[in-house]
Amino acid sequence: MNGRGYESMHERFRVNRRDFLKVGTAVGAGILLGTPDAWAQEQESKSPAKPATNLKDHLDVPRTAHSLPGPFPGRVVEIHDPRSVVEGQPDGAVIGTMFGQGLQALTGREPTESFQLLFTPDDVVGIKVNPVGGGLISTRLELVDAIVTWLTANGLPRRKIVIWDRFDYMLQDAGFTTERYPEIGIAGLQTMDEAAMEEGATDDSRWLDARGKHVSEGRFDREMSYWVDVEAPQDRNYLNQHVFNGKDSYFGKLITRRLTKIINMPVFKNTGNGISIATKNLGYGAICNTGRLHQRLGFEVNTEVSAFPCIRDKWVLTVVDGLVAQYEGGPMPNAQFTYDWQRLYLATDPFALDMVCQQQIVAKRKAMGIDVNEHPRYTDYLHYGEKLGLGIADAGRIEHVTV
Amino acid sequence: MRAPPSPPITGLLITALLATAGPPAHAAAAHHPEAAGPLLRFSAENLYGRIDGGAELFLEFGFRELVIQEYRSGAVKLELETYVMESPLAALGIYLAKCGHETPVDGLAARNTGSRYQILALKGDRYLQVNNFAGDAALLPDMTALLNAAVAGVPEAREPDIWRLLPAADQVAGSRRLFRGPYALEPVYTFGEGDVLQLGGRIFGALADYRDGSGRSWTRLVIPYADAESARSAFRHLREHLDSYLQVVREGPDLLAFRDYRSEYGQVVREDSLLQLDIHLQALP
Repeated sequence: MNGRGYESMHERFRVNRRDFLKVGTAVGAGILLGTPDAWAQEQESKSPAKPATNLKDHLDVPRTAHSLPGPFPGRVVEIHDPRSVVEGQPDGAVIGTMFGQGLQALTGREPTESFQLLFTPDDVVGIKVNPVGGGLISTRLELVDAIVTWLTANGLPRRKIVIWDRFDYMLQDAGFTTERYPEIGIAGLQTMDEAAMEEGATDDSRWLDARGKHVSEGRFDREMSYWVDVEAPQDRNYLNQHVFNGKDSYFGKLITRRLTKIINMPVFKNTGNGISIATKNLGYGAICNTGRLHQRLGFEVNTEVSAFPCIRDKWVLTVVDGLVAQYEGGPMPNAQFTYDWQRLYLATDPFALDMVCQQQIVAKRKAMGIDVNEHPRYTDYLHYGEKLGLGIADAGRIEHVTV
Repeated sequence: MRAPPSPPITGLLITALLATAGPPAHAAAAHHPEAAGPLLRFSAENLYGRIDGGAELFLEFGFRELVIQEYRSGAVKLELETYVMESPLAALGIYLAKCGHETPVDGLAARNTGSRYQILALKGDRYLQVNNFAGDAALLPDMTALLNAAVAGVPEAREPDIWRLLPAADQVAGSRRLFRGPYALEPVYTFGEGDVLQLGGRIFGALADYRDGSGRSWTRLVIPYADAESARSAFRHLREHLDSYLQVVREGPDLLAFRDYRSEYGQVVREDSLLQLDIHLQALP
């Protein structure tokens, strides 16, 4: 229990109200809470049984040559360069070199051959960034630049690249604009109107259409849903934030209908006792109506969403931005817990990657005197991924390469 | 741990106190912080809207109201958050859950820890945070002045009785924590799902770390239930819902010992209305 470094500037540091509303955990439960008695009833009613899902309906879809865990199951490359970021300031040239070295260490091939291993010029490639906490702990533009340079140098037109996240305005906040990335698509799966969430607000016109439906409904694929037998809160704030509030969490149409490949670019940060890195960036970033899932399924959402063919067969590479990392207070940005980590991680196997990162964040938390509950529940989802054939989570079978 | 009623919070009150306090003690701060924008109030019903994902811990400890006032010091924004908790013990619980290794800031008339980014403070039933978005160290005197004004008139709480249930010998300094439910216990240990210790958001428990003879640390948790039957019920509930990763190695009517996923041992003992839980033991007691 020694020195739990003070936590939770959930509340601040380049974070505004909409950031809180969007990223939270257990939103549904939070809405219900209010008095100690209500709180007690909520705790009492919790069932440890896992809710039913429709995952099994999708597991029989035949795998492709690009299905997870890709050509390098269990291999994780970590590349470190102390010049990459100094006092929070990134050096784009150094970062570009790091990416090239990391890619070669992962594939054992030159950049063009690496490209050909994972892509063709006909692909439409989605770069899933993490824009939460724009500027402080979000995916660095310099690293995205390096990826774009690699893709385009090997024949992929800029118009066939889409930088995306779940929320459109966060992309803007983090610097992912059409001005910064001409010809490249910038796409949020949905919008959310923070002003409509203020107490007493009555204008819903920016997120509700004339039919009383969320304006982003059409951006989700009603034919591809992660169905989970968990109710969602039925209030307007939840709907504003999550687009739907039934038992379906629909995948974004961008993913199901446009993208043919996905590069995942999360950042290196914790979420409570666990991490919010590779599998969480896509697990909670590719679907809507997620607030209801945190409490009942938690990290298992990461695994099950990754197992859907629209993710499993398109997600070919993960590049973790560990240039600036955060060991406590995540997933929201907390400046006092960030540090220059000066590392990138590359893998085609996100489960091996997350296991390596989990171990490193636990070590960092211990070193900084933060309480660490190492209960297996915080890594069970990675072993679940291994059971589903999506990657390697057994530490003894992971090949961790450092450059 | 009852304390006299604290004064109500108003922006005018803090502003007036700041005005009478004179200029900040350090010359580096060239501006007096001035209130900017409305005073925002959050109740238990809408706290999640402010600290989504973090409200549960406050509610678990016992939360009454959050009052937020933004200030400007020159061109820089400061923000003062005052959490009025149900009791001084609830405020202490939140403070200890967030303070970590305390690094007090000079000149503050309340228990505190902080840096140029943020100061956390505790007085009576109030848990306070002042946030400095820019992290400018020159604003530390302004941050201190805001907090001093906010805690003025708030009665100090006396040392809580619950600490007496934790042995003083070999206790690791700064390791004491409070809990009132599963959210506060989450970073510590997982005994089972949900409120497995039947705390109900009403019963406070306390914990501290200890050093054994080899210098390794273990942790003791104590929970004083209302009566022996409540403690007995909680013990039974824990036994029946013990986390599946904990393997029972010894048990009796009021004793339960287990080995955990790290091959460390734990022991739960009920004595009258008290439940005592030791974890991270290197051997069976």
